[in-house]
Amino acid sequence: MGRTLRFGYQMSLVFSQPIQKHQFALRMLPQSDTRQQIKEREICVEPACTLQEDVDSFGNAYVYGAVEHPHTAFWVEVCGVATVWGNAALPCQDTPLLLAPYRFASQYTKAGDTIKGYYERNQRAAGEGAYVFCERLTHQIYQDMAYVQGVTDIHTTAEEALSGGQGVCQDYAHIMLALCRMADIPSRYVVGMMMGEGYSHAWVEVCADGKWYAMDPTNDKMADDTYIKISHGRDYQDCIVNRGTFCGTTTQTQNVRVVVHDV
Amino acid sequence: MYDMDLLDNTETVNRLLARYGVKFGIYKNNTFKEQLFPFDAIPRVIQKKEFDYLERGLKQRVLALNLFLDDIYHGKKIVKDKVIPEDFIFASSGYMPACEGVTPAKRIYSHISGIDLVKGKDGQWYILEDNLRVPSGASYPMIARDLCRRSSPKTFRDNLLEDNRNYAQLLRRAMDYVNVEGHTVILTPGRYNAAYFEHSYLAEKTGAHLVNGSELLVEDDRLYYVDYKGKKERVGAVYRRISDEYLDPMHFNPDSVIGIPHIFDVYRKGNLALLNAIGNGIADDKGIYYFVPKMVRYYLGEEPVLSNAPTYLPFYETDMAYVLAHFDKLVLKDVAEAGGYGVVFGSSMTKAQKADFIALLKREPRRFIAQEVIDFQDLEIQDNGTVVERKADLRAFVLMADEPYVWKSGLTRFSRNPDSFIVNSSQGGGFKDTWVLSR
Repeated sequence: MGRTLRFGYQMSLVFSQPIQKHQFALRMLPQSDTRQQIKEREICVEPACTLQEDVDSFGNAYVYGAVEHPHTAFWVEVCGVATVWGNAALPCQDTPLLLAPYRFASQYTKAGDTIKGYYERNQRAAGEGAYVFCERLTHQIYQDMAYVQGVTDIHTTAEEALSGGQGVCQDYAHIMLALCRMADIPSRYVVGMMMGEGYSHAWVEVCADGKWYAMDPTNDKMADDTYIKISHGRDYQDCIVNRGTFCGTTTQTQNVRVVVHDV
Repeated sequence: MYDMDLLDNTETVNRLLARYGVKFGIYKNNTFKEQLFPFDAIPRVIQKKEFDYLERGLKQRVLALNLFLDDIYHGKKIVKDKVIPEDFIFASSGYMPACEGVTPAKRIYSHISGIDLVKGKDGQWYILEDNLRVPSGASYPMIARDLCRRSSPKTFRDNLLEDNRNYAQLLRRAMDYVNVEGHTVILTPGRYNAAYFEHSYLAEKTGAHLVNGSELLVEDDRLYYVDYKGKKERVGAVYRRISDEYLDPMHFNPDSVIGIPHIFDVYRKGNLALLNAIGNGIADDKGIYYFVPKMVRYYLGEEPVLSNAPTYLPFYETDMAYVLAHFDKLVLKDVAEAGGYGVVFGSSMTKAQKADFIALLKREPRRFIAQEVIDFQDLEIQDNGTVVERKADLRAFVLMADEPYVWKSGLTRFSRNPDSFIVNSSQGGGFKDTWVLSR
């Protein structure tokens, strides 16, 4: 039996001065797979405009559109109902070649001396399965990193975060990816929602024995039936929730509110 | 073979080039400097027979590179068949996963290819590198020829050489061949770009609109050109002179202000042709260069007509052993760098530098290629009234429409410094016209 959750993801941008020619692309639409079934899904954008929907080469759904006239606020909400099956793994039928983008270091997960040293100390033992190894890494990263907000930002790489020993879910996920990829285990960055978080969350999926397992080093556990996945990619860059450009001289304030609860 | 008045007019031609804005912009230490691109009037002359040979080899190479790009973003047969190790594809910054499964109009990826060659002292031509992203340089010999024809008409009456002023027609043909529907535009990042002269000159000569990102707009998965009155007209082909990562802030570098939001979506859906295609960086990577002759055999079943400079990949153990044993006579290139940067000669390093470099090479073997230093032919140039010899290379241009066409000219660049082997214009060299004899 799956667990049925109601979710709401709100994001608002407030501009100090009116902006115009605002173009945006939003990767915030959860999709159905064998781990979660999206039963209702609605997206509202304010100011109202025509939205187009597409799927990118990683398989993520995204919507895009434009608000041409001057406006001082931009608001978007995605809400719906999902049924989620706890620790179920996703089948991973891709051949090693199709998984290649997830096997090699990407921009945020390039290993420097710190990551390399860390990998040496926590190496995959002979005969240790990919799943067991990744599970061990999840514990290890959780122990060695301190969850501190405001120390790192969206440009921080895995190497930088591990060197500093502090960070947020994005950093935990990048470090985990860097290490998995050094061990030649295909792994990908996941953005989603989690009960009780209040904000968007990031974790990883690792491919072991033909299945994708969702692991969350920030909380030292497997992603269970309180997690709803939105998108995946090589790292943060492929999953940016909101991309946009506009014309205007302004400062902007972003607010994100994510709510997940039982129906 | 050439008249003295051709040489005597060098200064006049250079003055006119300066007036037309034939300059090269260089960013150094965060400041933008524009410098003249000095023209030397003594042409490089290539015999017809010799050029026929180059033409065959260049066509073959560009065809193979196109097939390679199509394969990488679709079936990846060449990796499955283990002709190229997967590291060289997927760990390369030139590989763009966003292009997986995207098929450009007419399956053409490299519409304009700039292939750099040198001629060795032994008379043999070697390919130095392929440029399949936004190769620049064709406009310089075009305008130089035009000015020389005026300053020295007799030279061009007496010598039977191929007219190189057809580059614009070739380019136009390549653009029209893939145009999906609507206008053809040349997209420039603006006048602070190193090659802005070229952008404006090619627009003038081909009759395409010269536009910047803010004049293009995406609506309903179509691209439009917005004119000064606000009227929108559909665009079917963009010859873009902006690199992939700046082209679309919605998909690539989010900080780009010179790109067009959503242009990638339009392209992906087949509603637009981009010259050159996105993702070509995987084919002109210095590491991939090593594999191009193998591509020719793999895709075309032919022996390559033109050879690479002898190249070693430290990634392979046997090659690493060779590189370490012959370090002093090799040139090492960082695969991620371009424009003459990241190139070092084993012979010019101090002992300490060498030790550091070898340590780096062992740590990151995938990052470098090593090549034999080719002793290439010197060309004569004028230097304060005397004639001296300098190193020079040739950038040949191959334009792809229904078939590849090699432009019967090319950009010959020379090094101003007598000791330098690096002829890249970003490094302050000059250029010559390239004459291809018609019989």
